Amino acid sequence: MDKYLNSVLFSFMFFITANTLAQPNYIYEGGNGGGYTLDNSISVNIYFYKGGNGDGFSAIKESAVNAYFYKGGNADGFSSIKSSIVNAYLYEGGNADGFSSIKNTGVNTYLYAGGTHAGYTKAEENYDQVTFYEGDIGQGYDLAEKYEDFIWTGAVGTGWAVDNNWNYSIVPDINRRAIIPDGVPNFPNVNAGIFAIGDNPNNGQFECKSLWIQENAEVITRVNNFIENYGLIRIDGMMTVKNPASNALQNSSSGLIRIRPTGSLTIKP
Amino acid sequence: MKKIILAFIFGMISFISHANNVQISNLVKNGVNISFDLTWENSWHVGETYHDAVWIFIKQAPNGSPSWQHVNISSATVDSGYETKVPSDQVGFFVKRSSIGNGTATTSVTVVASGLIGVFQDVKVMGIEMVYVPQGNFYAGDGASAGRIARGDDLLEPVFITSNAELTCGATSSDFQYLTGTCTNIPSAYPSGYDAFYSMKYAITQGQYVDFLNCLGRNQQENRILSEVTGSTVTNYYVLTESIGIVKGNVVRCDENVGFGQITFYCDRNINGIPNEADDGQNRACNYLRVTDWMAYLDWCGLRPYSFLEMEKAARGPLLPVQDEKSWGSTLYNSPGTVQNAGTESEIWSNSYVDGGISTYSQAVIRVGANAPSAGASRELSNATYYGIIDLGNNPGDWYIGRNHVTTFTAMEGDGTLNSAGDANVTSWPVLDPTLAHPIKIALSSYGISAIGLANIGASTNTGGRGVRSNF
Repeated sequence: MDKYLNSVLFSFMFFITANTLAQPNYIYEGGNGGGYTLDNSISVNIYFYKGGNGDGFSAIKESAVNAYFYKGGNADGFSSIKSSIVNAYLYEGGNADGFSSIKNTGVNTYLYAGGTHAGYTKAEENYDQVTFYEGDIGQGYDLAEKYEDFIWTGAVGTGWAVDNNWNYSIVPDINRRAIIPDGVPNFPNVNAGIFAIGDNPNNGQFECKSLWIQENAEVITRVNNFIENYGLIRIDGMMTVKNPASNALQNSSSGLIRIRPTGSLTIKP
Repeated sequence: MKKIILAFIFGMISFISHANNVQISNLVKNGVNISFDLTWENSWHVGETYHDAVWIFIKQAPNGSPSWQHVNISSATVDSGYETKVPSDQVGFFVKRSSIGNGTATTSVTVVASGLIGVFQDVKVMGIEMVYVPQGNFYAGDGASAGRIARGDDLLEPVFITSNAELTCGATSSDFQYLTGTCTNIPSAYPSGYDAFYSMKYAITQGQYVDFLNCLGRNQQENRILSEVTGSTVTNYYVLTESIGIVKGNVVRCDENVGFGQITFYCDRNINGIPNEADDGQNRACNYLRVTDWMAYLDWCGLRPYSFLEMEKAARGPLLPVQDEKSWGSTLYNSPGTVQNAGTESEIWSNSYVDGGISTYSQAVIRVGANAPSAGASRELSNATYYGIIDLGNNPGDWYIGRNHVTTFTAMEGDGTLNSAGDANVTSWPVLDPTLAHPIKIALSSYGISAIGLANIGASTNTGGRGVRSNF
């Protein structure tokens, strides 16, 4: 029996590694009492190594569905090996025969599970596979943007629209946060026209996405300048509006002017 | 377009355009150093075999130019408990857990960029959640699906792929065949699915595609949408469906007056002209993508197309096939109910979390991952593959590189840059004509994940996709 069993195991190992079943017809064919009786290589319901009772295994069956390989009898080392498309069982054994079942399925895979008195009891892949399939709100994608701040340098004068008064030598557009810091040689004066912040629906000549006047810094808008704020003006320093008109500073419903404790907003011609 | 001007906290350094599972925040740029915080929910790491990750890539606008260009990565570092993988092509990088754990992942990320152009650069950092598919044997073909691949000696048996060796057409058990059509040997260079790769967890979303469009030049934009937008006004301003209203859940649009400069696209489910409101459908899977749109997006973000064998591997894992199985591992197939919380980040079907196997075939698309519950999940309920990829071949469908290109298509990744027409231009990728039929996976009642030969022409409610990367 050992010889036959070895032959069977070798053949099965070959199947596992190569997954090929190109055996010639009638290999290993045996007679009654010889460990196996028939190798019938046909395309459907192939029986390889069909054995009789008490000879180590009783049947080997291969078909597209519910294939059985090396099906054995009780107490002969294993009782059946089943390879099928659904819920495949490999090396399924009986009680007290070394192992009870090895199941290869998609969920809760048990590898080398053993039965009672089999030398080990159970080894389970110990992870929470369910986590893979959990979801929540939203999606698996995000985008963050960082637009460079434009910082006033005042290097060549007070003109807002002069390139070289800004850190990148580019005058801010409506997408830029403008920052007026302390310690520069000149502070900006915004001349006649519209100074648009946050949005520029009226095609103002001066614009930025937001304006931050830092502590001890100053911005002066001249007598013919009109401010339209749709975004945010934060004043930690000083802002002086010299246009006496009632609409010199228009703050839209989306606009916010925040005057911090160190800041001041003066509207004085 | 009515512009929304939101008052924002002035000290805030970055502007977060979306709030969702993957979140990139506190973006700071200082010279070539770019840093930000990254978090994503439901992450997992069970050894190297089973884990997820986020693919990060960066675009720059030199001197504030409207033209956004790709930024390569020299290095990337993260907090303890996480690790980065910067691939040899440096097009982007992965962030993943470095040790066993699951749940919400949070780390700071510091990147050293290379190839920055101009005096200053505006930057956009984008993150896409990915799922790892490990190297290993798998079965291709389910013994039942239409057009399937099968073992050479038996059309009822799958092909057992155990290496990257060439797969040969023939009639023996070591060969393969197709149920129908001409068989061509599959060279070892074709991505057979044996090697490990990362797959996008979800299909490209409409918000994702909008972000892509808004980084392109005008001429490129014109070629990546269906509507005619070469003039200063646009008639069919829902630009992917070429319509003036919502078709099958697609909400991507532009203004009617667009001028001649770069067009700003946005999502607008409620058709009020206000872009990207909380219920405007940014999280919905993007349908009406032509095969060329799909490939352009993947090239632009540094990924590449799926091969048909990788799609089976990603779906089935190492398991034996189930005849006619969908990507969620069974033949379960249900129709969607009604949409709840329409357009929001919690949009679901009325039968989500209940029925499982919900197919959107021929239906409107919904938020990606809409069927995956936060607790009590299973493959069938969540429409998940063995590895946790959601809705592969479903909501809407997934383009892939089919068997007609096995001799030329390789695992070459996108480099982040398109040609001037806005098309993908990776050498080994096929140049496809979107007016012809191309293969796509769709979870039809009679088409499983192993079905090959199902094809689509142009764009439809079933045409979408996602990408993979095998260089990491």
